[in-house]
Amino acid sequence: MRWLKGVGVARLLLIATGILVLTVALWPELFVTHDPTAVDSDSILQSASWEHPLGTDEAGADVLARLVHATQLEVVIAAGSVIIALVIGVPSGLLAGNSGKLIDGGISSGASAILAFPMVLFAILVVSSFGTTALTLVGIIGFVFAPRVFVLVRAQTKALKEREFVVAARVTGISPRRTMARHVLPNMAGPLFTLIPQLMAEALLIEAGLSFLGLGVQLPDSTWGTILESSKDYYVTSPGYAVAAGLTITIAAGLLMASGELAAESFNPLKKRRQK
Amino acid sequence: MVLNMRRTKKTVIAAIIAASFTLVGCSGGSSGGSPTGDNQNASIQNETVVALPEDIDNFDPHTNQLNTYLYAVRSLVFNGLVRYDASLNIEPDLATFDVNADATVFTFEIDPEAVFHDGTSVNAEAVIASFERAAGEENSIWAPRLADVASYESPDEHTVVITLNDPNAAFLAGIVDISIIAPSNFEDVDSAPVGSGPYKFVSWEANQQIELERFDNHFGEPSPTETIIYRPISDQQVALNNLYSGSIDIIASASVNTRAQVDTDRAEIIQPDASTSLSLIEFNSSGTLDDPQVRRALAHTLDKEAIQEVAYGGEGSLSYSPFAETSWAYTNVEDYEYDLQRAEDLLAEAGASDLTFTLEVPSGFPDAEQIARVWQASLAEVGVSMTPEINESSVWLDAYVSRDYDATWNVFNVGGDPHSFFDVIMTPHLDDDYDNPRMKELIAEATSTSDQAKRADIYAELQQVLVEELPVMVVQSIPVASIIADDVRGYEMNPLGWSLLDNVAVEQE
Repeated sequence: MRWLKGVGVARLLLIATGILVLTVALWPELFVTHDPTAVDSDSILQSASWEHPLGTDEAGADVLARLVHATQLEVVIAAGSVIIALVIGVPSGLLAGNSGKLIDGGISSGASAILAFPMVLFAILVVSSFGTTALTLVGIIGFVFAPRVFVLVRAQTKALKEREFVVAARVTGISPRRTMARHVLPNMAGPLFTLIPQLMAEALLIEAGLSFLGLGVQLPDSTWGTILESSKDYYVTSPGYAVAAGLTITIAAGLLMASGELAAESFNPLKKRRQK
Repeated sequence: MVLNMRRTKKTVIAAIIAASFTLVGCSGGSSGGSPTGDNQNASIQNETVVALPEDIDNFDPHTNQLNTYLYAVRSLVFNGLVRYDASLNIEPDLATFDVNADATVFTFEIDPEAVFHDGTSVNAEAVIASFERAAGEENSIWAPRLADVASYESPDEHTVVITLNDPNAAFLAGIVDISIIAPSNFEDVDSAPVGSGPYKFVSWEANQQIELERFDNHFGEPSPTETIIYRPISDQQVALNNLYSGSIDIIASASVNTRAQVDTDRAEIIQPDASTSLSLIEFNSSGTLDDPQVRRALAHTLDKEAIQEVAYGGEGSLSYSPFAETSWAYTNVEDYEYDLQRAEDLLAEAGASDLTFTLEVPSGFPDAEQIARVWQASLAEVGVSMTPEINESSVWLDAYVSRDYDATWNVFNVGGDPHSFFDVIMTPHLDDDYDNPRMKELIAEATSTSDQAKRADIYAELQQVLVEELPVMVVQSIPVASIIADDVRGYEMNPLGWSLLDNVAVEQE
């Protein structure tokens, strides 16, 4: 069981959770039997029971089924936005970190401008022109995240560029592109893998925030955010409904944050846990 | 709605400032000729804050028929010659009236005390000018009601005689909606309305607030409250929390679901005795849904009983007729049973099995969103994909007026006369996307007949045609209600779902 010790119990649990979440996202019907879009006027806003473990919503649909089926969109939004951020942020960061003042300054100012722009205002702009679909949300969040990846990659490039092994590689005549790909990029994997889960957690929270403002996806699609949004109208008589939606978001974001922490530890030799 | 939250903070600050002014006002002795005397006046707050479900961006009474506008601004800033009382009987407003036996000559004696907010007199000339504007203005929604007027005459300064070409039993009820605008205001009435009502319009900040101030030279009974502030808050839960915190006194329109959440120790629910408010789905009969058979199929997928439970807390009447069962014009029309198999068959017959359409829904009406959800679930079962488009009310209104929709949800209040439904809702469809000469004929016939029994027969046929062809589908009647804070006095709501605010006062703590 040495491999188990090497990985660590916490990591193992997180990996298992990750696999579970992906399975839920791909095959939600394996986990719940109720149809999330089914409307049943005889069972409106019921509290938890064996039939409906998390109760029912204002249209009589099973809350658990809705939350489970919404996982798919959440994964799409969290992963999609981070992929967009990486696709924009990594090349531009590498470029800026390797270029002279003009190009570096230009890209960096662009990134600062995006960072300075109020996110919600931007989201309202985009949503009112393109409508609310999961895709627009992915685009918005990905675009807002891109400068964060950019800033990290640019700083790492600048620091790594001066390190002996990179200088040595350059001296031996390896092309700059190859140096970047083989020596600089792999060495910033640690910070990047720490950032990614944290961005994903933020994506979930931003999605919930936008949905709460009425900028979420429209029915029959639903996300944890839109479920929370509709639950708030009934929090006096059916608190369980709102708590279920809210806790789901909190736990998911918390788990992602924790995996970011663990990733940071794994990549940082100074922080590595003592394992014999 | 982000703005909403910021607004909440501002509201609190505004309330504090307002409260301090109120205190200053009291110590300095209050001004402004209240009939109740200074003693009582001191115990009333200067300001009443009312939450509206949506913002208003056009203040022209001849072009705006949004229900929220009608009660919030039009009924307080403007007068008509006649008006409805709280139970929808016609009573004098600016003028007392006299109608000849065959309903062709209408004589109005205007109150000589009546003046516009700009100080000019409401005389016969001004009244006729407003009627001519309502009849001739390009976008006027009331033009059809005045189309049959033969002449306007003014035998003296305060008398107006309106003569019609043909008898029209619905004419008097029809002109309840014709507001008299100050003649100098015709050009900019849409942004800065000037009328003769108990309140003058002060300002409008988009999505923030509308302010009205008491008009002290009003010809009728003066209102107790000095300032009325409207705040558009589309989220009723937010409005309710504002009401508890004291920054809002009245929520003009509250859904059944919101009412269920109200803490009755801190707020009171106000409901009229009856409601003529209708929840409708209007179709664009020249668009994707131009085939009546398809519309009938869609009606079979509308689970009205489920909607009644989910959206209206089990209240309201489920009839497909636009009229209340107590109305003389009501006839028992056949219902479309909730029958998915039948719907599927009809759709297959019409060759529209993989139908896709959108349903426009204005935000601020949770009941409409629930209807969309229930309907969407049933439609999906017969292979029809319906997407609800929830938009801010001004965006929704643009699409509605330009008929840029497949289907749209709407709310309508049938006025004192059944003609109002066919006039306001059906006539624009008949002139545009829905071609039905027979229905047009019947509508004209119904207004030119004065015998109620004969009119009832015509309306019976109209209801049959309406339900059979479904250019407009009645979902059910809406149980309307407002929520008021427990220190609000004199608040009433009429069966149209209008907030009656001219006697409202909020007690001083």
